[in-house]
Amino acid sequence: MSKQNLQIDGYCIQAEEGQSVLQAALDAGIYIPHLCYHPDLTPSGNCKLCAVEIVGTDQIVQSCETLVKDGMVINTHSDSVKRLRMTALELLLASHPKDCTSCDKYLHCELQALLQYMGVAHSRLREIEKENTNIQVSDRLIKKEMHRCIQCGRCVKVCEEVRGIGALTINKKNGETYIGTKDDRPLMETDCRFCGACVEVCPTGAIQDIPGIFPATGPRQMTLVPCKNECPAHTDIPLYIRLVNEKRYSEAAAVIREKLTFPLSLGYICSHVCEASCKRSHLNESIAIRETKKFAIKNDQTMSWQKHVKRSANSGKKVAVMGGGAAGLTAAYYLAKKGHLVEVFEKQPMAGGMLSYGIPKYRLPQSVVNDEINILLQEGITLHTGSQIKSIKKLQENKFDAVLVAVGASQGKRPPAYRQQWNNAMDAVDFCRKAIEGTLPEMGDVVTVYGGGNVAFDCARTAKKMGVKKVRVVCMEAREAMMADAEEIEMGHYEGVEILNSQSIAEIKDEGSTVASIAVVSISSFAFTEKGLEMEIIEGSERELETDMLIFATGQQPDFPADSGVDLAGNGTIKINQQMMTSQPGVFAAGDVVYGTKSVVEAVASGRCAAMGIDRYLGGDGSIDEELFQREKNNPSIGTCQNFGQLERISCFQHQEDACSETLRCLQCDLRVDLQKVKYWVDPQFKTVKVVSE
Amino acid sequence: MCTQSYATFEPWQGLTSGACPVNYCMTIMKQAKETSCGQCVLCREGTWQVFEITKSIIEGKAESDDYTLLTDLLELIRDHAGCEMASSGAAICLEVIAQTHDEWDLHIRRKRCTNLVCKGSFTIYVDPSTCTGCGQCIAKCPEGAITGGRDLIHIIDPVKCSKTLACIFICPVGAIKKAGPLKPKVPETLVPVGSFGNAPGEGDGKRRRRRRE
Repeated sequence: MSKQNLQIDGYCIQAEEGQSVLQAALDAGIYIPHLCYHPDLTPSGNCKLCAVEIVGTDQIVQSCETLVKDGMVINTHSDSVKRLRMTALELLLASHPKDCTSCDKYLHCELQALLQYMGVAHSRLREIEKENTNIQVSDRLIKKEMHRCIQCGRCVKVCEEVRGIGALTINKKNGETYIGTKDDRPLMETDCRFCGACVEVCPTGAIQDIPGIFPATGPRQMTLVPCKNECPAHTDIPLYIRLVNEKRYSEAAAVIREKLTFPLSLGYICSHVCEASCKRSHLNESIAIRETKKFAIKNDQTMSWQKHVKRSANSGKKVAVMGGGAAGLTAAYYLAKKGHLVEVFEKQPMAGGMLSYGIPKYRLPQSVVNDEINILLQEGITLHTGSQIKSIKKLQENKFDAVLVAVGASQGKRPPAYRQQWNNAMDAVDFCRKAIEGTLPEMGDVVTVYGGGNVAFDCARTAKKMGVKKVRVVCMEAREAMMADAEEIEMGHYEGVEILNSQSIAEIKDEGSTVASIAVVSISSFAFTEKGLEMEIIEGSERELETDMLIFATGQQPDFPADSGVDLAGNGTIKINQQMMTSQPGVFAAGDVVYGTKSVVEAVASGRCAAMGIDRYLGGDGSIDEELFQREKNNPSIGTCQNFGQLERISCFQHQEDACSETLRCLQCDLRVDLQKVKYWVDPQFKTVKVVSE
Repeated sequence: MCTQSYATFEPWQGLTSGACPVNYCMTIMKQAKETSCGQCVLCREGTWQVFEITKSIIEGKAESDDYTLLTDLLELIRDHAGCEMASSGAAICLEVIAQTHDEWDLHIRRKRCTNLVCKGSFTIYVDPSTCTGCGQCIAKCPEGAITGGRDLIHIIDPVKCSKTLACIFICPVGAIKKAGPLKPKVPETLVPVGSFGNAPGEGDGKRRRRRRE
């Protein structure tokens, strides 16, 4: 490609051969107004705004369609250019609503910016009212206000040219053209794949996202991809979904492993906030992201990710990690790869924390956890099990340059009415651990679990599986407001667990050291306020439920001693700064002990953050990012797929075909980020012109 | 680029044919607007805009600078529209406008149409000396604007009349006529055929109003 020299408005600039005059001007920092032009689309010269004059020929051309020629002299604002441009904008505005402020695109509108640039105050033209603007209607993902459409045609072009779909067309009815779909069908019944490209390129408020689908704040490349954004570890979910769809499981696994330790465990039990935020959940049902992850890891034949792992040279620094759970082991793994010598101290006989001692085995087999721990340990971590650290100070004296406290939240919360002498009442943490250890006492015929989260169902389902005749879950939440995953509730129900919603325990009746029954009342509402728990009890609803065992699944809290030397918050969690460091220099904290109980994936993310903080503290660059799968350019052309809008979720994959079908449902939100942003005239790029000296 | 097949425009027949250049241009632009593929702004919005302006001129709602605006728009469409259809339509209109400048001036400034084509420029009346009281026009009028009975001279209510011209075409004796600014004398109540004489002051409506001194 040879360089072409041309002159625009007196500036000598250089352009690439094959570039249009408009591209060359914009690249050189000279703004020429444009509207139907988009950097990712074929120019068509339809809006007439980018008109320029080729000096010496008296010819006015559309700069988007005109290729640069060496020696070209261009005037972007001769009188005749301005006349055409101004009239074209007036024509566009003749049918466009005047009420800018009532539009959601207000202040983010390309048309509005152009108006400001060109200074159109009032039009000489007749106002035109179009008739076909109510044909296209909004759906659950795309908001249409077609009376704002100026028919620039970018949506039609992006759908056809870039995506290879062609769901949008220029239609005509009663002699009036409008942007529509084939036979004016709703998008759900067209080939639309809801990728959002049309929304992205629309210069006005005609095609927008339904408010609430994406977070209002945050960087665009994150907010537009809700699954990745919401995942605490920001796993590149759309990419691995695509790779699974292409049956490239090793590559998918590599993408997953870039951000996640314990990927297979997470494939079994992740709380999957990604699915809750999935854009497709607004359409019909979210993508089965967790199942996709599990399938990718299970089918990773080549383990190609191992070849790309980034390892730093030995730093000579030593790090002690207290707690061998998800947070601690994750931090240890990344710190070891950063060249630090890491020792992990776990008080239980097995590492894994809640993965090993909290989550029942029917949900997550121990072998899965063990295998994943072993993968991490291969980085040269020394693991001491059955080893509880009594003093942080002692660790520091033992030449550990940094200490990470990741001891979790291992203490179950018990209500004030709890009596120590009860031998048949316990909290969920103890129950789950004892069930796993095989040290549970005799449960009797009736077990009552108090709480409505996943842990409550872990307890209830465990009891049921161990043969207890009657197991009931009592919780304050109404059925639809329960914290537990829908599938846990469903499975519990299926296995015969009785679920009593909107109930609160009024009294626990005991006979000496044994709880005999509980009195429950129905409540119509409840809230945790500054004054504590407030609820509205339905009068006369009290009844007594006999029980042989009572389990409190009402939350967990850290059990970290207040005299350890690090500052604690009121609820017993450890206070940390942005680098995850506690009040004690060199002592860091991560996981549940920092924020109370959350999820495994949150612990993984927290462990990663701690590793970065610690590495920086030890003189490293704090970067643990690695590309285990070398990125390829995304193919923007997704093509059509029959009945795409109607495709239903497959939650459990039996075969490869299931994985393919399910991943095909993905809306591929990340492709939208690849579309370029149109630069407004106020862009800093247009502050100075890049001139070449002759 | 425009993919629509070209429209063929009826040629301008000249003022002497009884046609009106404003009405002609409106028809051309209406056809262009409806043929437009909708891509280029000058074709899609420009022809529509010219259509709207000519329509308001026809309806007697012209604004003083409409002539400049029209020619300005038409020139831009002719020179810069993306397709042959729109630019040739605009070129035809510009030629007609150049040939009939006075007629446009008459339309815009005085809201009049020489050939009484434009609805704003004429009223319809029943010539009392020709009407045979046959009643065919009464049945045809969509607005119910004509009253009359057998052998009575029919009367058109100018308020109700929407100038569909259906009556003119149906009248077997050509008794229904257009009147310009000068209104002919017609009976105010129903009178028998033949009883309303040629009173002085009756005209064909084309005579010029006497200028005020």
